[in-house]
Amino acid sequence: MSKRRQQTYEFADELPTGKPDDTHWVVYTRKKRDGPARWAGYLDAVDVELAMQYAREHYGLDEACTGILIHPHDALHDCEYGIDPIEGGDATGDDGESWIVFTQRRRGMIHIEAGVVRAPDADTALARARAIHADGRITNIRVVRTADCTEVHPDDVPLWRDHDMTYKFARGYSKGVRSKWSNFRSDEDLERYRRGDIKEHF
Amino acid sequence: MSNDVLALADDKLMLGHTQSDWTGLGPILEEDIASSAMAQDDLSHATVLYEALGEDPDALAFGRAAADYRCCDLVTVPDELDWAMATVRRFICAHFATIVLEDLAKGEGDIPERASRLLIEQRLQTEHLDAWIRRLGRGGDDAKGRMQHAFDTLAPHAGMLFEAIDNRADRHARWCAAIASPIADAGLTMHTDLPDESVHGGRRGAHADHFVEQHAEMTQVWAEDPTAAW
Amino acid sequence: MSGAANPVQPLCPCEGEDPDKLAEFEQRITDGVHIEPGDWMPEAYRMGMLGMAEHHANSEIIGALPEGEWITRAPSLRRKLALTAKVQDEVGHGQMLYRVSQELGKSRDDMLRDLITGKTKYHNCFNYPAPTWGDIAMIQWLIDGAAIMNQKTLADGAYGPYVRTMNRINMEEAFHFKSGEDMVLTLMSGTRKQKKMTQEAFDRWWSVSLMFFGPHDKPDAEQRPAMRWRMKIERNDSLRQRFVNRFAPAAKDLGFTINVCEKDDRGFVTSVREDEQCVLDTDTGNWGFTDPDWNEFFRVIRGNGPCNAHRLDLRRFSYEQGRWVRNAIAKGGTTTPPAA
Repeated sequence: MSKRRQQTYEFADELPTGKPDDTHWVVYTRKKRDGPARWAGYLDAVDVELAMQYAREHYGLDEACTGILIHPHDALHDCEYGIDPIEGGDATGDDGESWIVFTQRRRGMIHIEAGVVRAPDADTALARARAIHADGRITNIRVVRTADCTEVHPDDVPLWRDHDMTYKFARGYSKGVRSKWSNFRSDEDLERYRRGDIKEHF
Repeated sequence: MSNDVLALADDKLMLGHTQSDWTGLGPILEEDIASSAMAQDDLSHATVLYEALGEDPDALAFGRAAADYRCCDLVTVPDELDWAMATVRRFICAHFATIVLEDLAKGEGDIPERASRLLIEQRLQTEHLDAWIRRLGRGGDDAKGRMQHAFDTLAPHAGMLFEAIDNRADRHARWCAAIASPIADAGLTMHTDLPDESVHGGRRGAHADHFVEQHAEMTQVWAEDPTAAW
Repeated sequence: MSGAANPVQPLCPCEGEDPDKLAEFEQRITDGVHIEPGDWMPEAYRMGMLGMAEHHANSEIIGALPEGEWITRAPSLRRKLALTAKVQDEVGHGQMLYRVSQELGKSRDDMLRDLITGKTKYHNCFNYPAPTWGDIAMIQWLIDGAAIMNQKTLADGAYGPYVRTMNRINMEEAFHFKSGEDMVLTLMSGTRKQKKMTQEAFDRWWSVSLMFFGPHDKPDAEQRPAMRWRMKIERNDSLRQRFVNRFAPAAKDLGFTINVCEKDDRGFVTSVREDEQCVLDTDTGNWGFTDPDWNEFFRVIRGNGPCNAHRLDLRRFSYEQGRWVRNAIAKGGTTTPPAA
């Protein structure tokens, strides 16, 4: 094993005192430059600078990514999660500050950016977003004050790497795996096995 | 120029080698992930630079005798899984790499083109590490003490970054200027002189014993059968 | 069924819950409706999901250790990059899964502390040694193959935040498995020495991967909360059979001999005999296999496996060694004026 890891450890009986959680952040990524921000995951960080650094190096490199948007978890306001699609409404108006709207198509699915509304407070923002986006096909609306969101674009900061990244994706191995299997299995067996992969695993 | 390319590639190989071994052991899960991403960048950059030399990257990375590597003494000093040592070393080396890549990126041809693409990713590293030096330096007496100790431990080796490379005096001056402000901003200090050219170190194959051990570990599996596919 | 029937795992641990709300909750689950934050849920469900996500996160964090040992010795640049990225993914999965549990009421620090003091558990398979590069191939092929099979069903579970996280994780597990498959194929296409090393690693990991899915199910598994509430989707035994049906023929085609092995305390094989039960039953379409040694399984779970102590020591070292950094980051920050 790694030599550095092969040491004998000695610890005090007691663990040092623990600490509370850092601020929770929600992370969304854009697959396409002009596409919507899609929920990617979470992270904890003490401030926005660190949160964005972490988001870039984790979620920004999970798949080709052309933009990252983050906000503190406390800044989100979700309406009730509908069992059935939620009702619309007739709230109107465009006074107040800007809020980013995210919608969820079905329970269990991710939130995806849907647009922007203006409103003086979160409840009004939710009501106005409902009137626009609750089209009988979504189960939840989330609004976050635009001022609480931080975003980076690849024009400002490189996100995706330029060098070969195929080592960290399944597709980087498909061709090699297929040709190596041909030493062991007929094309027909191989095709059946590959279909099983897709059906059961990927 | 190819001396510089090989020196930088070997530095990056060993930096990536050491930092990737931290994966899963970092102090904060999020930073564990981020520093592992940068370790992967260093290993990838080494690969790109080896290719630029027209050689098989694996043969260069694994197939040379220890004395044929051109990495400097700084990158092989063991960090003993101490985060202060790891961060300070990466910070010092990232700024050196930026300066060398800036120079390599000038002009036309394959190497300048590759270097200018790597430079963009290199700047992500320096930005990240500048911020970490600042945060840890300002993070209270305990952290400050550990960081200063790491700078003091590594400073005597830092000048060896400039062993046997082109334009050493000029590059040393630019590097000193680049690291001065983040270090001062963190409330820390570091002083390094440019060692006399007569001092031989890793860049001319005179490696410390710990590099010979690291090399043996790194090439252990590969060396079981260098002709086999792994 | 009454909770008193089994005091260790009560069958209906919902004493004191509002019966109407409970009925509505259970109906939603039966109807395949996901549970989202803010929904009413029985306390036993909240605690169950918290514990499940925490155990899963612990397994990712400890699971980073056996493979992490080999990053420094990976035999090519691409393998070194892939192994680093894979271990990094595991840390990322741990981070995401801890967040699911944080949302359900436990801080990350408490979870990391409970892990290193042994108060909470992690997956048993990480208590086995990985003494050769062949073991790395086996972990990625067999153990990650088993993990994908399991997690694919967990993504059909009922708890929204866990399901979303699982879908994200499964995307990356596909890379882990493919990279493992590529390693196994390369080694089994290689030299005699490579094949021998890989067969020996296969002997160490085959029974561990059979144990991966957990002990035999209780006859009433479907009625117990874990399955009734869709925290767990498929019986252990049926997942195990699916795993064998896929991997036994693949292993045989690759030239592996599927052996029944005895191991010493260090997890090293001391004797092997070919598993004669490992043949295809053409009537059922199922491959047979010799049941793993469940005494060993429970011995290892209780903390007496080959690597339990080492894994927890290294994890504790990481925790204690990183404490000053966490303190500094919490104290410092961009807004602090420059130090004097």
